Amino acid sequence: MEYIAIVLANIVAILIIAPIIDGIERKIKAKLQCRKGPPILQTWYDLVKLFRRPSIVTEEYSLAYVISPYIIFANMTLALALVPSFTRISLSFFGDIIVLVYLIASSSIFLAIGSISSGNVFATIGANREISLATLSKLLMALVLATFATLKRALTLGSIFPIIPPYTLSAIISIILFAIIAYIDCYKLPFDIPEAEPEIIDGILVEYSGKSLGVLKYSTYLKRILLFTIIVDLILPRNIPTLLLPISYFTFLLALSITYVCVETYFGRLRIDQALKFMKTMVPILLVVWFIAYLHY
Amino acid sequence: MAEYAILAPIVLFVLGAVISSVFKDKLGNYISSFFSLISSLIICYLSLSVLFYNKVLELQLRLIPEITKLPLPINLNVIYIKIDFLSAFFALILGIVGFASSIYGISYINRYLHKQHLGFYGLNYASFLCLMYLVFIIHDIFWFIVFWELMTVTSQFLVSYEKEKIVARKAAYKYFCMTKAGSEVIIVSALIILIILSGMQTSFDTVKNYTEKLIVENTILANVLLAMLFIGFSVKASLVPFHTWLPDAHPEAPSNVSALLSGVMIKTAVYMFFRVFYFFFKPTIYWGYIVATVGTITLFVGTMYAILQTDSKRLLAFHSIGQMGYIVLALGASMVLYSMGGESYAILASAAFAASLYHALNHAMFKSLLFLTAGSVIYRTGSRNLNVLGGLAKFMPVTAISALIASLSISGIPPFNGFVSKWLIYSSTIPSFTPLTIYGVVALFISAVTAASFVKYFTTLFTKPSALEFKDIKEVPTVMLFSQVFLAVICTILGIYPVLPLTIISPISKLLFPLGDILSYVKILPGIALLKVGFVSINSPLIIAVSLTLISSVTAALLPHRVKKFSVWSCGVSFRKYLMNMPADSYFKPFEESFGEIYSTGKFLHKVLVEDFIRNYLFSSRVLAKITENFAAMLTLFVLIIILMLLLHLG
Repeated sequence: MEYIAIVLANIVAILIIAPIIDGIERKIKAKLQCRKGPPILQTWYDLVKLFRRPSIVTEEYSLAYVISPYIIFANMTLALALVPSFTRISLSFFGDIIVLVYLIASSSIFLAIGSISSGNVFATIGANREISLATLSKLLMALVLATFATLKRALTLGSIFPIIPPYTLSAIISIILFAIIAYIDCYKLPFDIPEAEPEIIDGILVEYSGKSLGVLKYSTYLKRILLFTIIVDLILPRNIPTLLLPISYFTFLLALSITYVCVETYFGRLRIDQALKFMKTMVPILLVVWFIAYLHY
Repeated sequence: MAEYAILAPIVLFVLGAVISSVFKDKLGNYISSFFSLISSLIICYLSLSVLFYNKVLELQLRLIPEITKLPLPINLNVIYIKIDFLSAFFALILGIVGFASSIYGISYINRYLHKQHLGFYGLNYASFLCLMYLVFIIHDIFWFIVFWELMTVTSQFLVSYEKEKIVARKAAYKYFCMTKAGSEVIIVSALIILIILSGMQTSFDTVKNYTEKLIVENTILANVLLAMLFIGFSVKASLVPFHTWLPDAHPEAPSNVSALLSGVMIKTAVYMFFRVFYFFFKPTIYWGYIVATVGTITLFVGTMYAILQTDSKRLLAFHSIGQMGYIVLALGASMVLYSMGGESYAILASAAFAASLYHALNHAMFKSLLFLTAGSVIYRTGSRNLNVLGGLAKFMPVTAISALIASLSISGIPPFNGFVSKWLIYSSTIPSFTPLTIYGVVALFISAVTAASFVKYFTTLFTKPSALEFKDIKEVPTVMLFSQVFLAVICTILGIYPVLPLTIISPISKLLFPLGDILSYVKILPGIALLKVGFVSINSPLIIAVSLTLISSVTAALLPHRVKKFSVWSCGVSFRKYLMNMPADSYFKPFEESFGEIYSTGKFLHKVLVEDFIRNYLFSSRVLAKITENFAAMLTLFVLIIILMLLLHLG
């Protein structure tokens, strides 16, 4: 029972800090662009406002359009239960890595089904881009997680974290590659192709409003935190005392998000084919890294 | 006496086939469907009783009771029927899918009324089901080949049922030629077994004694036999490169027959793979790798081509190839992992063994459901073209929900059945830390591609606005709805309670798998089956997932919420409703383009292996025909051969 309570407390803590981290990112981005920027809690205010607004649905809509935001949210919450964050305790079982990949991918699929079901053609274009990116990123994610599993000879997230006390070449390269994949999966600027505002007017989100939009935005923040958490777990040393763990976790998270937002500010958006080509070039590199890890044993 | 119950479905099928062939209109279909329905239920009962009570049914039937032995080298008088656990498992698949598709056919086939001869359908349908049943339960090499060939013949008539369509006739012809070529290889290997090894004894049990010794005594002959059998059955299983008949043949049949073809008929080959690799011979690591590699290539190629399709049934047919790849990959992986030895590999091997059978069962359920939903759309709109269809969820809500469940199942999204079997495949291959890891990763990637193409299938049929206007579309008749809902419920139950299928797989593993009962290696929880490696979590993560989803959706729905309806936003300009549309052609275009080299390689291989090969073959056969027509040339050849033989004899 205690175990479940700790996992739940972890999730609640992340649910609270996820919009705050986004607020900090917005502030830093504004500063880098010589703007004053909104207050740090602005993302929370936005969310609360969205939750209180009435929704507008399309005439063409079907059930999938209404329920998919909630399914995505549930998927992300469950995924957060699988990774250790503020404490080392998480929902852990043999093969939870695969479930993690599955949850990330299936949230993309529900997002696509939901937005196409709104009947808007911009949403359809956005969903197509979303699926194209998500499919290829699932390949990359599966490869890099297979590399981690091969390095540690385990298929449980708890046993593969942290990956780098043995400072092998394949471990370091695979962490860097995972950071890049996570960056792509966050849909940060060079890769925010599915919801490109100037081109396809927010793409997948175009017909969502009010509460549904709020839930979708919230899930996006949670997804970012989830991917950040995995990176932090990969590098956070194991011998940190339990009391210091939440603080060090949060510091690492903040450092990572600041790095990412700095990168983001200096990029324009890629075209979808450029992004896919970029992701495809990573496949052979990942295969080589996996092979090194495989031989290393 | 209980043994004679085995014959009851056969008698009913034959009765249905014979009586229905007399009638030309509706009655022909009704009689055949009714008899098939009853006998499918009997098959379900028989196979479940074999699997749950662990009682093998056998029957030796004499064709002519007075004579014990005919004066022939093979004892043709005796038909040896035996429902062991493996046969029962596959017969159960046949029973369930046969039941659903027979009920569906009662209404569906009436769309061919006054256009086709319905009695001809009835004859072929009932005898096709009967022959599949016989293929699964027969325990005798000679009669197996007879029924195997007859099964191809009857299904070929069903593929070309709309005989005015040249596409259907061509597809049936291609299907027949390719499967026949495959079965020639099987016949030759059966002859080798009968003549060289078993001394004309045809029973599976007797042959098993000889073949088991062979792998030690004469490795070359054993490998040749394995290769021939693998190639022969690969054609029926539509493994790459022998898959080209399937996407042509399966869409052309009536939809409920497509469900049977994809759900059950290609499983006869999987059944024989299990017989060959686990029953007749013992698994070796080389054959394991060969089978797993072919499986991985098959799943990759099948699904990557499926994502291109814009014809609803053709898309599903390509996915049949892809999912067969998953089944065969799991079979190969279990052979490899078993041969590696050791405790941890034993766990992975048994999980892969279970995954293969489990996925065969699951594939039968969701693929036949998908074909039925595609059939319902054809029944109401008359179209298979995903480019023009759309928005049917409003008119056909039950069909849409069944299609969604089937799509989620085949994409492997929890809590539906595809997830559990695919999960077992990944969690047995990826942690093996052999080249199988990469096969597992490819399978994981392909499952995302599968999901992508089912986003296309579901949204273009049911939720996206259509490109044409469809008026007066109603939900399909109740009988058709019943079989769809029936299969959708089975998909959900098999996903939430993996304990049911794994319990019926367990006697098969006791019979065939050298490591014994699979249940001792997996911990079964609702919605997931975990391998007993390291520690196993106390809670099923799925329960939490489902409860989270339910709680969040319910709370979201219950919270007071004002909703306004507006037309679709189109930049403030009013377009014609059907003009602003994204056709299925342009779905995932960038993704397809980024994998362009795969498709161009496929094109090149098709040109070299199929077109050039056929052209050269036809050319050489034409030349040969000219020579044989020429009397002088034949005479010269004859004289030359005689001289050559004399020379050889003298020298």
